[in-house]
Amino acid sequence: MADEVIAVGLGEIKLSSSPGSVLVCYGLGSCVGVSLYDVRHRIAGLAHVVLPSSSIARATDMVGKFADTAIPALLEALVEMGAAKSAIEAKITGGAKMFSAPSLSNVLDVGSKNVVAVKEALKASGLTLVAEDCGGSYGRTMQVFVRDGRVRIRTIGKSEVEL
Amino acid sequence: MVMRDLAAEQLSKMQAIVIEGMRRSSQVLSEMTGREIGLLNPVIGLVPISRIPDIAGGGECEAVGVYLGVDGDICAHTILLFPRKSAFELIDLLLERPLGTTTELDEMGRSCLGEVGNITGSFFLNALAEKSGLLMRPTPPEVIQDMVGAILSMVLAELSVESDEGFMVETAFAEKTKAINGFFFVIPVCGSLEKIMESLGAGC
Repeated sequence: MADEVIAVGLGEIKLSSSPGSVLVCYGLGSCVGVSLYDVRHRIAGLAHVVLPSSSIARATDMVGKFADTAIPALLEALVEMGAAKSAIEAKITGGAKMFSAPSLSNVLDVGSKNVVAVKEALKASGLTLVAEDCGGSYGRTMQVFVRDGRVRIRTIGKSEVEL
Repeated sequence: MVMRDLAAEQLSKMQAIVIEGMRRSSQVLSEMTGREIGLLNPVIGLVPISRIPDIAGGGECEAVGVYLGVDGDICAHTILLFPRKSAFELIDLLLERPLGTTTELDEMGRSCLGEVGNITGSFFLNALAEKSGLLMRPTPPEVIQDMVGAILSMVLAELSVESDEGFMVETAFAEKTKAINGFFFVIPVCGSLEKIMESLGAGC
């Protein structure tokens, strides 16, 4: 039976407790995919983080765009669905540097800043990061399997990574 | 958001400028290749950032992107994006080789596509500069091959700081019967869209 695929676009947060479904961030570059998975209740949440901090941005209702607002929002939504915070494991990927053009000076380090900010936000929310595959200069597709919380990472021309 | 307040009139002015710029760049490409390279009806619009990669074939779709920065009176990023197959066919056309010859992106192909990006971006900027009276300089092109989402990620990150939507043009270069799909993204940042729209409102 084919798994149900739930795509998580830039700045979005999606959750699922349906064992046959897979949450997916397609083509992460400088963005960071953050998977929170309750290993006891088998509930998964995935955020597609674009920027490190909401403080530098104009007002928006897309809390999922920023590391500092996405992680608390994702955690809250998971708990609302019945997840137990103590059983949640975090896995992250992405945070690459795709271009090096000087005209992109404002965002040249956005990938690594996203990774740092995500880790800080996880710590601030009292969550444990159990695995990561970040950095480099290539895109990644992140799949989160709701059945068991496995994370699979696809790239172009490299072998698949499993977290 | 600023983008949502764009008047239909301003959007249609912008569309005319894009079409003019693309038309000129297709002329130059025709001269370069000695073949008639036309341009298929560009579609222009404002798109929510979360959906932009989907429109360009999907976040995971393998593509070649040519990045060109813009400085001067405004600050903007442009990316010309071709799905992998289209990118390789365009290289074959430009190098006058049978379609299907290019199977990977080598230095020659890279510089070919860099040049196409340069031409497309520069002619769009020239058309925009003429109409708006604003000074714009393109930076040298940077060519990468990867997933669509990853290619667009840094530029969309900067856009995300000030907006939830992006300005996008979908177009295709065509040579006789062969259409080569491509997407041209223009992403003004740091309040530059307002600046452009103000200039256009007063200027034409």
